[in-house]
Amino acid sequence: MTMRIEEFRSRAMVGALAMAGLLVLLLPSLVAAQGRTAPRARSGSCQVDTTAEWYRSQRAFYSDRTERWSNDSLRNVLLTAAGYDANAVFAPELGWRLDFGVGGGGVDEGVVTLLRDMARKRQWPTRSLVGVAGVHAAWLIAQHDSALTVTAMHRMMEAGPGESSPAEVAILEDARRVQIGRGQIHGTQFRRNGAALQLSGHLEDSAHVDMRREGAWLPPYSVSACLAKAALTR
Amino acid sequence: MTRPYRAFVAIALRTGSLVSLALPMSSVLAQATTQRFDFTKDQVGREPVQFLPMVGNWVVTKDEGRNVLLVDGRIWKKGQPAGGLADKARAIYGAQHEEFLDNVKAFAYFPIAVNREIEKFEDGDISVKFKMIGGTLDRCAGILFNLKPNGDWLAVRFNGTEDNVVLWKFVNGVRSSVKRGTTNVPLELGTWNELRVSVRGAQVKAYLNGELMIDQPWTEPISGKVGLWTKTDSMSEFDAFTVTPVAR
Repeated sequence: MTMRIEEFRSRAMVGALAMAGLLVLLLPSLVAAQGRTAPRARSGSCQVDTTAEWYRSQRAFYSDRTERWSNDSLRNVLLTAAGYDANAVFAPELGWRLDFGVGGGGVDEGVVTLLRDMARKRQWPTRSLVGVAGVHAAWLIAQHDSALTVTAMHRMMEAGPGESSPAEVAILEDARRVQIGRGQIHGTQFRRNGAALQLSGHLEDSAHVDMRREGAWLPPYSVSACLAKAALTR
Repeated sequence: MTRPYRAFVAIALRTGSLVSLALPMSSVLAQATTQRFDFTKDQVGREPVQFLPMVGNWVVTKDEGRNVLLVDGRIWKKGQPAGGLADKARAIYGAQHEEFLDNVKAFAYFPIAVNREIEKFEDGDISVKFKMIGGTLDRCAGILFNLKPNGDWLAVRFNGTEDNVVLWKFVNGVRSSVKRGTTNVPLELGTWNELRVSVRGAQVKAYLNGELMIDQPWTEPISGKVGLWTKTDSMSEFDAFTVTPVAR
């Protein structure tokens, strides 16, 4: 006996409704599973917008060829110790670190001591002193010493606007906060959890994280999280 | 004089003393009118009506359904006063505004919004609710007081990059700390807190969430305008700015 068309339509509709009902029941579990790992980046948000304000601010800071600095010898010492080429092509700070740990040594101890001495006198290699490349080199070196990382962060903050990159300060501050058990504020520090990506520790005031990132010349959180997740598979 | 009469006189004298003491107190209390400023009637997206932004970007915003005042350090640029500074300075200082302008322009590191209604604060309490949102170099929220026509001021502030309360003075274009609170108080971003400064003659005290942070003798008379204060790229929200003067 052939099925009448009406009966077929009726059964198809019942089947579709049943499937929809199953999805509604299962959806909370699927969402909860996502919540146990890092917040999911929206599709396509690994894209770095080179026209965005954060990118242009970083580019303007790092690419300034008109800048002047007062201490050339200190600049050269820092560049050599960090292995950083002052003429390197601009590469933006993208606001994520995976399994990042400060300390570990591996850099000229004499230069670390020099930086510690400067920090003790409430000084730091600023843009006026050593230029943007020198500032970046000092930042790279400081991350090899846990205690110096903390003082570097404070000295960079105290140096005032324009003397260091807010993106670099933000990275140091998040790393430090994770280290001492406080919440991150820019959401830059991630860690592996098996095959999944997790934010290290927790994020304070997540509602305003992108506002803080904008002020720190960093891309939106979703972009950094997407890039960090992509790095998991490399 | 009979015994009951003496007792009556003694009681009357004592009662009279109490009454005579109470009279000036009641007049003090009558004059100590608390003024509370919030932003419920302000327009979101615009500058506040009861405060004059002199440096920095101050705008009324919505927070959990309530109007609050946001100082947005993302827009702060070194050395750049707020728009219309000259007109605003003239509005509060009239013909004396030029010196104020010079000092503000010379060192526009400190976003300030001056309260329009309080002409002169001397003794009393000023409190404000604040919420730190962000800032890479600084995460400040402060109370400005003793603001003079020449741009000198005092400020009590909390800074989330240092986790402490400090009393600052700004005199002739130079800022220096008067007293640093010795207690470190880490506050979470995105939470409401209260800062209060209390001036009683030769003493200035500062409280954070009701806890005494600073207790500083102060020999010079305090008399000036009041308002809100932050530093460089701080992003903070403010609400319930409350002034309770003590009549002298």
